[in-house]
Amino acid sequence: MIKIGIACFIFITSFYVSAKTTLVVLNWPDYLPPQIIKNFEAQYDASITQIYFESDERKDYLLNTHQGENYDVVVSSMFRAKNYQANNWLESVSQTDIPNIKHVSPTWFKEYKNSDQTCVPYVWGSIGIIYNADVVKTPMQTWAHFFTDPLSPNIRIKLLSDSRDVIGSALISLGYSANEENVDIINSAGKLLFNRLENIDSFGALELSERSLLIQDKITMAMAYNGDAMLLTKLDNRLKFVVPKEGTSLWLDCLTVMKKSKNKKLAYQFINFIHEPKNAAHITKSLYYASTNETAKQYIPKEILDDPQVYIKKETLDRSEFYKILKPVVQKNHQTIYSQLNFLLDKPKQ
Amino acid sequence: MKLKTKILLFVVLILFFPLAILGLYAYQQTKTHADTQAEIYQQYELDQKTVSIKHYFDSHLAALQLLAKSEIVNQYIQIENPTDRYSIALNSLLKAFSNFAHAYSDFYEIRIITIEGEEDARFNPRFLDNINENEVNTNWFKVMSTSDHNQALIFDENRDNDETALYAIHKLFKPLPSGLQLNQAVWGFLVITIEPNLISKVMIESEADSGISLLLTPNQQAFFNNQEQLESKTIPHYMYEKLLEAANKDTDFSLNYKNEDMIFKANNLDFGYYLAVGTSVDKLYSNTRKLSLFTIFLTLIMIITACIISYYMITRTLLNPLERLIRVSKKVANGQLAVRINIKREDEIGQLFESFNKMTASLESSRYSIKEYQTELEQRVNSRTLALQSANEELIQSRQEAEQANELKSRFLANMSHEIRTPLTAILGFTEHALSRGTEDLENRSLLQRVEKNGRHLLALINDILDLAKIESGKLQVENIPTSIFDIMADIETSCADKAHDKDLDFKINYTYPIPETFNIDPTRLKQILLNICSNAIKFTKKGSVTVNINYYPSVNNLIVEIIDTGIGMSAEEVKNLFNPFIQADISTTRNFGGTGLGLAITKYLAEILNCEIFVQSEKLKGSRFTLKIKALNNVNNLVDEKPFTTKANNAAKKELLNLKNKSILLAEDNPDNQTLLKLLIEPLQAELEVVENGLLAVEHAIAEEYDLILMDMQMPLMGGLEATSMLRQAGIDTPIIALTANCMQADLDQHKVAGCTMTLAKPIDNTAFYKMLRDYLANDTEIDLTIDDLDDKLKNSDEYKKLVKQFEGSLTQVYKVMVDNHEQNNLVVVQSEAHKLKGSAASLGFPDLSFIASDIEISAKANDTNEVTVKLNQLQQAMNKAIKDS
Repeated sequence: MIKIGIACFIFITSFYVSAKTTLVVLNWPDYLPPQIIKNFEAQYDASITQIYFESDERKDYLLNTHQGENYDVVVSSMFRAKNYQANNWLESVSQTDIPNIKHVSPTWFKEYKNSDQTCVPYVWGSIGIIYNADVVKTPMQTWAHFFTDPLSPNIRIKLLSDSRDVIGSALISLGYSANEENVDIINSAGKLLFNRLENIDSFGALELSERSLLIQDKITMAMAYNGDAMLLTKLDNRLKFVVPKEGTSLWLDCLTVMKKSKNKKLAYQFINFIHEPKNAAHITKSLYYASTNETAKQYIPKEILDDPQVYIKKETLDRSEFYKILKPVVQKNHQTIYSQLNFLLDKPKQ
Repeated sequence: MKLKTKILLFVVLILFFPLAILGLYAYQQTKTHADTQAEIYQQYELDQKTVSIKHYFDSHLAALQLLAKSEIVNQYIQIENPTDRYSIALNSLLKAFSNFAHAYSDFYEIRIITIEGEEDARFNPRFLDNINENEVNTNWFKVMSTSDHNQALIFDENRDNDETALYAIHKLFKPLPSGLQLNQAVWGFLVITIEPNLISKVMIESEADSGISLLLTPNQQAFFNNQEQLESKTIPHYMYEKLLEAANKDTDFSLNYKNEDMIFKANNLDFGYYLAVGTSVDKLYSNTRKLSLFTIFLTLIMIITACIISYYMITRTLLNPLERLIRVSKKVANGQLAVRINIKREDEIGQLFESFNKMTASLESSRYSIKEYQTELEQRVNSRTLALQSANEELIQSRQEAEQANELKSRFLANMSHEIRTPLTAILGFTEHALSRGTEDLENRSLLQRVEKNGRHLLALINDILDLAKIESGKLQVENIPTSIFDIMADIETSCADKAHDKDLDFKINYTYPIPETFNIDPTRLKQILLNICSNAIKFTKKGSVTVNINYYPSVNNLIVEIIDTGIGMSAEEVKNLFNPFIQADISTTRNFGGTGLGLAITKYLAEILNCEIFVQSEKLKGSRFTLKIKALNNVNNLVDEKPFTTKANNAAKKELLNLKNKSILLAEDNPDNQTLLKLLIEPLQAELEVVENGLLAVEHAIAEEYDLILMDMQMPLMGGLEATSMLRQAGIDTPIIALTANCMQADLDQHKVAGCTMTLAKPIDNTAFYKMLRDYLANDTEIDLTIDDLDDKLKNSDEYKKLVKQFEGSLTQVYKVMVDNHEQNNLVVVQSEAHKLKGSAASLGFPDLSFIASDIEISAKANDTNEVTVKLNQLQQAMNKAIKDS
């Protein structure tokens, strides 16, 4: 984590050269197509500096460290954005500042309204299972398969580095909601994860290139956001992606503007640029994440629109849910479990 | 003390004591040194531990501070709203915690506890059930709530696992918006729960598990290691105080802890903690002891070895040669001069040996020359001795010859006297006979009387000569039996009174009492002495008196008999020769008084033999006083104050009578003749007599009834007398048993005695002896009615006796016939028994010839000599015929 931090810092400095207005975006890696960035910079004579985080928790740390300063635009999942909003870090973005908000489908527009216009919907998706079908012979159809099937030690698993994702999936595999607040049930989900530790290789996001551990055969299975998984299956056809049958966690990522941002205008322009339907469609085409921009659909190829792993089917959607904000005690419990799992995984075998 | 002992003592003194002192000193030194070492070691160990624990404390405190002051923690607590805090900052915080947990493997958990005691954040490396608890009641919380310090190390119980844990706690202060922290506003605590493994490890690390380590807390608790865990324990207040004092003053102290003597030391660890180390005295000093023991052991070995070697060397170099010298000189002293000591050495001892050898050599040579001289001397002595011996032998020979001659003389004299006496007896007899026949011719009568007188003189002379010869030849035998002086004096009075009366002399005997009734002496010889003196006194006294005075002096135990006469007396010259034989006072004396002149000589000899002395006082014409001093009386019995009534005096006069009324006698005798004869003998005595025929009946009767006397024939049918006697004695019957037998050889007598016979009477039974026996065994206190002689006469004249003799004569033919018949049938046993019977009865009834022949037949028959029996039977027939004819 610290390494990543350092890497990010270097990344920041390398772009910090011109006198142009620079927009600092705190984002997941590979979560904005370069073309979009380039186009925006050209169009608005600005430069965009992206600071990447690998997990929401990392992002929280960065934000907390600077009390919301230093960043202009932060890409954040919707339910986390609520925390930032509560912390009074986020600026409310009026519709006039981002006229393209009108293209956003009503479903997601509701969320924009509910968040006091702090959360501008970006893309949405789910979490599923990606696996090397050559190695994993039994088809991975459910979270239960993923977490409870007996596995040989050579099956290496990578989990997302987000406590909600990890514990939520485990809860679903046990037949509970990912938003379950009963501490005992959460602990039993933690136990399930603890029991899987032997096969767990690491926590973190997947590398979306040929260097991916899945392609390199370093790991055989992983939790993955559907878009990432789609990209990888395109790179290596041994890899299969499934959205588990029992349902999964859904997420909506927002584009937020930091209250302490000094480039709010540019930030609005950037968000508005993203929601240009063509741009939005480009993003979906590049990332395989479903766009919240309804208008953009006309520019998205049909196979993507019909791909149930991008635009998840209705029945799956019905079984799935978005994360909710949990009670502090439950949050703490999630964090504690997650930190312990991380520790135990990193701990050299004795 | 022997030299060896002295040397041994010397060696012990010279070697033992210095070595012992040295050993003790070394022992003391090693002990002291090792003790110091042990103490240093203990201090070192304590210091090591102290350093380790201090370091441990410091490093954990450093970690605590680092974390407490870290940005993450500060950011975390700045977020007031728990939801935000948890969603935004908790993850990073826990990450940071987990990094620390990676770095410190002994962190049990890292937590943030709010001032209310609520657990706000926790990282626990163990995947355990996550339980939230309020920490308000924990010890560390109480301490920290009131403490002025910002950080502390507190031992407290970990409630998760009930083990003792070290709590490293740092206060977290409420941040101001400016970012400053106010020390008064405590937000909460950063609490690191540490598993004190290292402390317990440090505390357990002790050489050879030789003691105990205690970690003292400020609240007087003590922790010690128990199975890799710190265990709490409350120790006595005084012990705590002492440990503190030891830590602060850098001293130590001893204490009996858990039944073991321990030495305690302690060090300050900061934060009010103290580390105490107690080491068992035994274990602490165990090495000391080993070394000390080794020192002692080595010293002992040295002492013993040194003593033995020195002693051995001294013995070998000095004592053994000395002993050799002693041995050899002893031999030399015993005369073995040829002995030399083998010299193998050239030291002083060798020189000593050499000079000793020289000395011995010169001794030997001088000894040799002495020996030569001695030999020469011996030769001379031998030749002289030989000469003396031959002279001596000649002397002995001549003396023997003289003695032989003297003996020959005595024997000749004795023989001659006997030979002379025989015709003299005849002469005297015939003379008396002639005188008794009476003769009218007075002249003849006078002549005869002279012959008699001279004859008697001659007889006396010969008797005296015989006595003297006997005395001189040493053949006189002396008795030593109880003797009454009164009896002797009575005899002398009897024989002297008449003579004195004839010469018209007074003869008096005066006793001065007390006088012993009896004493041991030879009565015959004493009487002879006294009679001789008295006779002489009467003989040489013409008128006046002869007085005998008898005195006893008990103090010297002497009996003095004085014989005083008023006779012719003697001159001193005559007294001098008085006791020489063949010399009389005067030639004329012989003429006037007669006598052999031997009387007094014999008297003197006899007196000497009887251990008496004779003194003579005499004055010519006035009289003489002979004193006989009987010295040192033997077996003096009963001093009497008057003359006892003597039986002997009466014996001669009175008739002796036996009355055995009420006495019972058992006679066992198979021979009817003998039965009759004994009946005849006993009848007049009025004793009851029971007669049985054999030993068996005798035993039956004797057991059934009580008899006063048993007369037992030895040869009887069915059971002999010998056997019967033994049986009776075995049955405990002690009645006197008199054996009657014809076999009176000494062997027979012994046999009877062994069987238990009281005495043996020989057959033929001598009547006098028989009656005497009866008197001895039955009539000791009864009246004596009959004299034995009377009884004898009475018996022989009795009709029954005569009848018995007649019967015996009548049975003789029959007896003879039985013997001849049996002899012809070669049945010699019967012949023997018949002969035996005949031997007894013939002797008893006055047929001695028959008895002798019967005895011969018995012997021959017993020896199975048939021819001799035939001869003897012929003799018996002749003797029988003669006996019958005579009667």
